[in-house]
Amino acid sequence: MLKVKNKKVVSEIARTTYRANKKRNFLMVFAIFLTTFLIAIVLALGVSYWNTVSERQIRMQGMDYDIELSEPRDDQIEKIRSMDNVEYVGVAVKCAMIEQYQDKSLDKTRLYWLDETCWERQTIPALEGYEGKYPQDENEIMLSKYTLKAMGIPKPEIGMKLPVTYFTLEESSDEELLKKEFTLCGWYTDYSGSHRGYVSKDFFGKTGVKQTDFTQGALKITLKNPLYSEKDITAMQNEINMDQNQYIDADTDTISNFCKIVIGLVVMLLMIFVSGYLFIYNTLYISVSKDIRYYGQLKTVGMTSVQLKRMVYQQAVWNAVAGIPLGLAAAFMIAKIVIPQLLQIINPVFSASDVVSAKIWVFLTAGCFAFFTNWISCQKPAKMVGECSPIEALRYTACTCRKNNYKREGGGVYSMALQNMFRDKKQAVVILTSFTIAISIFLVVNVIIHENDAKRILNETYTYDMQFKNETTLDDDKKQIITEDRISQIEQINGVKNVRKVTSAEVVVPYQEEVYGEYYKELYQSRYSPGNYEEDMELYQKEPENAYFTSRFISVDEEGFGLLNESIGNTLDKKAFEDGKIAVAVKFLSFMEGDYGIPGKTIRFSLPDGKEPAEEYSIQIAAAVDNRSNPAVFAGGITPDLIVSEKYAKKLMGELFTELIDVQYEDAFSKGTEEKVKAVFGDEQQISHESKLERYADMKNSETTVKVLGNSIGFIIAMLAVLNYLNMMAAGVQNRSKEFATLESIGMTTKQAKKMLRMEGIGYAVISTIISFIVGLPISYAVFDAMNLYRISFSVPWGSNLILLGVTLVLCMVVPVFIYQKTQNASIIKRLQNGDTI
Amino acid sequence: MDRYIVLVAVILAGCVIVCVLLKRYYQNRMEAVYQVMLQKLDKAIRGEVQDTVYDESMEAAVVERLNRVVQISGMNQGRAEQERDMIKSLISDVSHQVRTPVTNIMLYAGLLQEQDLDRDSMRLADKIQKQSDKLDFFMKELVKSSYAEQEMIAIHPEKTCVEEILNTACQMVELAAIKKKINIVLEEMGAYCFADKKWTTEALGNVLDNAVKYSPENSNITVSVILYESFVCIQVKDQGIGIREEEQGMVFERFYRSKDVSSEPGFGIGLYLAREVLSKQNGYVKIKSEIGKGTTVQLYLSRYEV
Amino acid sequence: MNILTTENLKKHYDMGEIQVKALDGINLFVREGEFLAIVGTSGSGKSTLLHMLGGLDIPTSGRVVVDGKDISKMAKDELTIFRRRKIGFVFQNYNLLPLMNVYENIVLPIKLDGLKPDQDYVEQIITLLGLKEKKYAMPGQLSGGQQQRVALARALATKPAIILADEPTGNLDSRTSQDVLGLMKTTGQRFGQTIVMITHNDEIAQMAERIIRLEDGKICGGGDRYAESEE
Repeated sequence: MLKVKNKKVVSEIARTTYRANKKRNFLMVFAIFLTTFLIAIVLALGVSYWNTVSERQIRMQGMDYDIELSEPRDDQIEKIRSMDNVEYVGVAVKCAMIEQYQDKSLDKTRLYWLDETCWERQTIPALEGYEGKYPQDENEIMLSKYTLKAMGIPKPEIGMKLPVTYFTLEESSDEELLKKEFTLCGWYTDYSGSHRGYVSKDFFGKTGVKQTDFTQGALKITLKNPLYSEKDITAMQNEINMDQNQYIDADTDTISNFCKIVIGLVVMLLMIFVSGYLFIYNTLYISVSKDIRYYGQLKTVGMTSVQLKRMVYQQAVWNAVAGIPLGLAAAFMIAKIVIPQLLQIINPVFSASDVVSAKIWVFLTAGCFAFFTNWISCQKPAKMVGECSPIEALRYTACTCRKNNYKREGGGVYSMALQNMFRDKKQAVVILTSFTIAISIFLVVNVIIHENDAKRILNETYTYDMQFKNETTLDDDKKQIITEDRISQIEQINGVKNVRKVTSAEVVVPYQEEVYGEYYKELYQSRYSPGNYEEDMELYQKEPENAYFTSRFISVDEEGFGLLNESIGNTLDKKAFEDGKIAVAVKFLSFMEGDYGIPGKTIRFSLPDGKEPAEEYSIQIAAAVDNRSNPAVFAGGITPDLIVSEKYAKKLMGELFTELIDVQYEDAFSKGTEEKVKAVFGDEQQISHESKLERYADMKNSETTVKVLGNSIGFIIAMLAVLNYLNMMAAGVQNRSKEFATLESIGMTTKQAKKMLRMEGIGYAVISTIISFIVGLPISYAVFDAMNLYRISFSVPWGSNLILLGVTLVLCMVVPVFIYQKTQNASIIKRLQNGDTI
Repeated sequence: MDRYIVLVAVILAGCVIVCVLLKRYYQNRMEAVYQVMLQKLDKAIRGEVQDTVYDESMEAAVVERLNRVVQISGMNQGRAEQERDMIKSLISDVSHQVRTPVTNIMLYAGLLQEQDLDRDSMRLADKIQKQSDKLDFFMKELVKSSYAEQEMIAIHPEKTCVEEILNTACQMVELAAIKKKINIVLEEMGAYCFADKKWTTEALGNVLDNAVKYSPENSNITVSVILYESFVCIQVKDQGIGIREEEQGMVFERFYRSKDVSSEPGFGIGLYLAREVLSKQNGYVKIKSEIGKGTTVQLYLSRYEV
Repeated sequence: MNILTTENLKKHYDMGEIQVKALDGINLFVREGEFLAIVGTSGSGKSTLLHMLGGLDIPTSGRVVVDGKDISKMAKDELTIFRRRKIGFVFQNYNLLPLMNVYENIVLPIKLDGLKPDQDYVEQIITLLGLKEKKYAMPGQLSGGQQQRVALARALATKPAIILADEPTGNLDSRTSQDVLGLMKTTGQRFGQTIVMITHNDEIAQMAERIIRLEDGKICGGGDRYAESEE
């Protein structure tokens, strides 16, 4: 059946209608633009992050693999290869080091042997490109372009002869230098920036290095699923029966971080989607409600439901066509500039050049997504239009009057405000939702900004404002550069609060198994075991003054003691410490938990640089602390350092050697004070310093970026919410134009009407704030947890949150009143007559 | 530093809130006092004397003054009522006193007429008879009209059956109607209204009386009941001489008689009475008429509790 | 005692080149307690006159004095409050607030004034207008006549100096119209309320005690139905 030719007419009417509604169209286009823009940005962000993460490891290693097992045994290799979750494995062994090429001294160029799998499947994909082939013969070599350039060969050729001086990494070789002439059989370019080369199996065999040699051999494992968890790693560990020294290098952090980021992005995307949907839906709903009479008229003239629906859709399409490309274009431009910055913030391990920007398909997806949102939002309003009956449409008032089942005798301004808030349930829900989302996002953003506040981070991680270190402390010819004179100079500077002095000296601790026995056992069993337990202990007993076994005798002043005591929960007896009855031992490695039964024991020691070098002293150890509590920075041997009071140290040492001072300012980050303090040491070459202020300057950058970015995103979403609110309020006020006129006629003053509207606004603000706090605070904690890189404590940024609430409240109050003022100006009669069409 | 700022801000906010609350509290107290005063004033307007508490509060002083005001107006009212009572009793007395002589005059005039008289004397006797009749009639109307003073009509509306009113009122004029061979058509309908049965019947009686008086012989008078949502309308339609348009408002006036009806006896208070009675029980009267074509009088009675 | 007077009241509208004279010098006197009807055809200016009387619109020239106060010079909010306390309105399309029940609609003007309603009085009005059963119903559940009765109750609630009714029976059928008009008359009598009603229907006007006829913005006739002269 051929249909009547009225498509054109319908389009014409649609076009006329469209053009007549400029204001509404502008709003819609703007909403679509914003939504598209946000979706595109977020998607691009997500994709970039994914890409960057996966690329990063490849580039850093110069190889494409997931995890690595050090010093693999053959049986382990077999077992792992046969594991279900393993795709393939490759072996790489570092076997030699090139020292010189011809006469040129080279910067540690490492030579590796890679097995076939490793080369073909794991290395090649990671290279930008390569020429030639993998070395087969014993004298063939493949080098990185970077290395060749360092060697002074900018234009390499296959078959070139390269005479080099090298040494093998065989354990007993003792780095004996050997000469050899290699033939260049190929070169490659990668991003690792490291000096590397590859050799043949034969050469590898000749070096005598074994794949199970410490730090030389590695098994590069590519998993089927690149997203692995710590459980997977542990399972693998258990299966393969690892040796003492072996470990599996897996970057569990990145993976879990990645998951958290993805979840975060998905949630954001959802929120943006909902915000955008709500806004577009609402705008359409309101505009359709306004025009329903118009559509009703069209119906009385003879337009069918189908045609009317098509009209609505057509107008939506035109809006989309205008808004989406704009959004995409804006997103694309911003993405180029902003995303690298953003990723660096999230994970400072990335550098700007690491980031891979998103491809075109991302933007296309965003565009489709926005279009889809638009389409869905149209469904309900179009349905409404299609189903309206002509007569009803002519008398339509968008109000659902509910049945009143209970006997109410209210009726003041407040009561009316409360009723009006919920008269149109749908609108109320829409407004509350979009506000809640916006406020929640701001809460999260606030927390992120607060947590990234450089000053705060620094204040929590640094116990000093400036630290001066005497770099000659461990030298045989150490010089007392940090003199008492200088210290008092600093102390006298106006802005300086106090100076903590830390001295140290070498201390010889005879082998005392009863004190440190357990500690040493643990140490030698750990990954960082210095060697063979029995042998070393024998040596220790024979030569306690061996540098391997001596440690530092550290003294702290009163302030320093305070800090030290605080770090272990104030358990130390100050008097006893001052008098030299107790000391604090410092565990060698920071991951060593527990105190190994050390506290309470008495330790004997002697001070070779003290007043009586031969004298043996003894002191009781009150506590064994982590290295983090150790104020000194220079380390001794494997024996724990001893911290005593300055008084006691002076008694034993006579003159104390100050290894460092910690300076605290009255006002942290005070530039003036810093300059004066720095001037005290002038340009003493052997004094190094670490300044909180300088660190702050570095961090300021990223902090600003976070603030800007976070606030921008929050702002955009807030704008959507505000626009929504504005729109709804405007529609609401205009819909109620007749009601307002009635109220005015029976005696409601403008002041009272405005008060009512203000109450409604406050009501919305309060409710959405409460909901968003209930929803938003847990989310912000989760986000904080995911992004907590500096391990600082969680605190709610009440200040900025209160500001947020204040702004929301003010906004909600001002907007309806403003709209009322702008629109309800005609005389009462006109408004009563015109009803809802003003 | 930040902590201090927040602390100060919180304290300031706290102070502001306390101030606002205090202000509100006092405002509410003031409002409550005014509301109480307004209530007392309303009571005084209604004429109620209120209990005074003899303490030193301002409230008691105000109530005392209000009571005095009520008393004074009560006194004035009382005086007016006294005067009215005086007039009422005067009229009652006079009419009573006059009754006897008038009755006597009528008796003797009648006796005189029965005597054998010459023609001239007969005429004179007739005239005396007629005048004494008139006198009698006027006296009766005077008594009636003395009751027509507004304050003397005490209306006690209650739920009444309309039928009863109709029947009683029709009975009142049956005799006169039969004399003129006028047919009274009663269209009954069971309905209830809120009205004072006695006075409403009296009012309806007056209306029917007029209808009979001003209708020609052998005509119909239709009495019907029309039900509205808030009113019951008793409609009396006659085919009489009608009322001129310019006079339609004036017939409700006290003692108003149109020139067209000067031949009929009447005092001109029937409709006035009807209007007063009806308006006291939340009803009203309407007249539709065209000169020469008859009159329709509609009495509206309230269906709601009055 | 005149509760409402106008002095040479004029209202002009400028529509481009043409000047429309809606009211052309009206001198009106309304006595306290009377039921006045203003009759006129469409375009005669009767609606405009009513709006002037109620302070809903501002005259071009002339004065409107309600209960001794010149309202043509008042500021917007002052006028609104005056209107709230002194003037009651009954509109053709009832104009009840759809979200409030009957009782709340009636006491709304009182509440707006911040006062507590005189419960006895309100109950009286509700009973007299036959709304007792519907006290807590919503306007959407009422018939046209009932809604207009609620509007009337609302107008009476504040015991205003004057009630202005704009074609109060315009949306009602003839029977309901009779009803509503009857109630207006009786409650007006009962409470001594002054009522000014405008209508284009002569028959409806007959319910009033006095009729004034408007044509082309001028009073052109009508008079007392009861022969008491215009002052």
